[in-house]
Amino acid sequence: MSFVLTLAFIVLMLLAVPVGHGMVIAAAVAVLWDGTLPLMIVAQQLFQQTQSFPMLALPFFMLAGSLMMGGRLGRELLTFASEFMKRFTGGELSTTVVASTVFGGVSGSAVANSSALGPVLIPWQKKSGYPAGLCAANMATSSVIDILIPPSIPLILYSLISGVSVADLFMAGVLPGLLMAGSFIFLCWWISRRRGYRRAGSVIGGKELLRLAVRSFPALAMPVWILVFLRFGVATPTEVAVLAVVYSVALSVLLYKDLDWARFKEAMVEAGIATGIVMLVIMGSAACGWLLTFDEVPARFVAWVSATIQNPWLILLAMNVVLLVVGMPLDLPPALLLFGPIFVPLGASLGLDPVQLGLIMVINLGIGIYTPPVGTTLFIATSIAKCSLDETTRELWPFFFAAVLLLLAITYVPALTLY
Amino acid sequence: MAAAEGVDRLITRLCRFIVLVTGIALTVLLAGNVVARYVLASGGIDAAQELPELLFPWFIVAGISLAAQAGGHLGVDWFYDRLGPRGRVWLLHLVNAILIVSYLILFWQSLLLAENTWVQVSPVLKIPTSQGYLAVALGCLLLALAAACSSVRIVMTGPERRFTLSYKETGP
Repeated sequence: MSFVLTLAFIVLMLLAVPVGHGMVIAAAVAVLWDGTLPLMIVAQQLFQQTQSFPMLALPFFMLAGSLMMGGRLGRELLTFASEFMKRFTGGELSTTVVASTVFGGVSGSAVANSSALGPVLIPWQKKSGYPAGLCAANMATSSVIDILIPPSIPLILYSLISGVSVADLFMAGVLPGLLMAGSFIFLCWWISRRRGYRRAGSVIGGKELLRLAVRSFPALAMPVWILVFLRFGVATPTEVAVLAVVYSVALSVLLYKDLDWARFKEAMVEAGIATGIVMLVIMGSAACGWLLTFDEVPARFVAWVSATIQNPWLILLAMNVVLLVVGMPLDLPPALLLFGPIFVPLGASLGLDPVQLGLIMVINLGIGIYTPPVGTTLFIATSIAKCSLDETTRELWPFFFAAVLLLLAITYVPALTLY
Repeated sequence: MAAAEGVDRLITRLCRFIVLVTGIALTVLLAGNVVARYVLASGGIDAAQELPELLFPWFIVAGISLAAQAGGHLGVDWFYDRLGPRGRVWLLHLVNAILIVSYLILFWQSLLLAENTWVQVSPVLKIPTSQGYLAVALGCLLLALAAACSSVRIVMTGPERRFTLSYKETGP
């Protein structure tokens, strides 16, 4: 049955059937082929995923991010980041990195990040003299920082597969996120210095910068109170997500006065659509996962790997290579949901902490978001920059290597995630 | 073509309505429950445990259907990109046919499940748990309808119009 399931999925992928649909249909085909299980199993698995209380956090973190990023607060935050970074060599370029890091504290999706920041930052950077390909590459790669800084949609998904606490995962993501941001800022500075890019326009005074920092404070504070609430058990992750929505609405209505019914309605519908996209993949992968577990595939895979590769370091390296390859054609959520159930028991057999494994998987598959042939943020940033995919890919390599170096560090140095 | 556009508009309006109503209800309920936990002696609202489980399936299926209309569910277009215009049209029809057949079968299976579980009720509100399966059934039906409308649009105007122009334009 697992063979038919895999084959059907590959054929459907080649036919350009969307990934979520592909998994649902492949599961149905495998059950029909097997003949011993009722087809109702597939419908039951689809339904089962809608009953997960932690999953409710997804739409609300998306809604909170959309309300914050789409309003005046988002613009204030962006102005603060750009005015602060403009003071340094390559500052216009590294504004993308800083903005992705601070927006990571209100959003939880790399795609939302590049879609929201790209149209504002890339044209400004191009006007300041930076090549379009470099701006696009910087945007596509920096968006991934967003999914490491809490709240993070992929880390919530991983917590559902592994049973690890969302609070632990969120906490573990902070240092890798900041390390990635630091290395990307260094790259922006280094590239700009080497190529002689100069600052365009004047910088504002310290007093004005402080005023901007104060106005951006409510957004900058959001990841902090999310972590505090989760860490001290004030509310569950789902409730924290809902409170983030209430916080965003309150700020937009009372402080920034830029929220009307029409904007709220659109933000809610967009959150519904974004949830629908992720949930179809979750539902499909649950049906596939149930069938693979029924066939004992994860257990057999762990036994095979343990017997074939004795060295845990090599197993970790092999896991990373597999995920990097898988992440190229597949988007992050389906890849995470397909390989999570297989890699979690494998990691456990190696004595790898599931929190560390979660960060390894999310960073690794995050790299897949901007690597060709299928890279969501790569496509978004390239289309905003109005350049060719080749131009973006050429400029992407330094960022890619920095991210891979960080991935290896996270893989082999547990202290970077288990502090 | 007019019929297909009418069905599309109907799906959009219905799904937007479901997303808004269930989304707002979930927000109010869950936020209220956090406050109630620290204010009320009972430690929260009893129904706040159950209602999200009842509402969330409807929110999800409406979101999935809207995403299908807007082309939000992404696939690997490697093979599609290598085909000529005629090949692309045939491939899109084939994909839509696969979606229609598969989701109609799953629609039927979900209805059977709903029928089987009709007697089970939730502990506090006494609402049949089968309503969740009805949500899945509705989702499957809407996905099949959206795929059928997409094929009609492809026949009438070409592959560029395989998705509704925007889920916003056809909304209320």
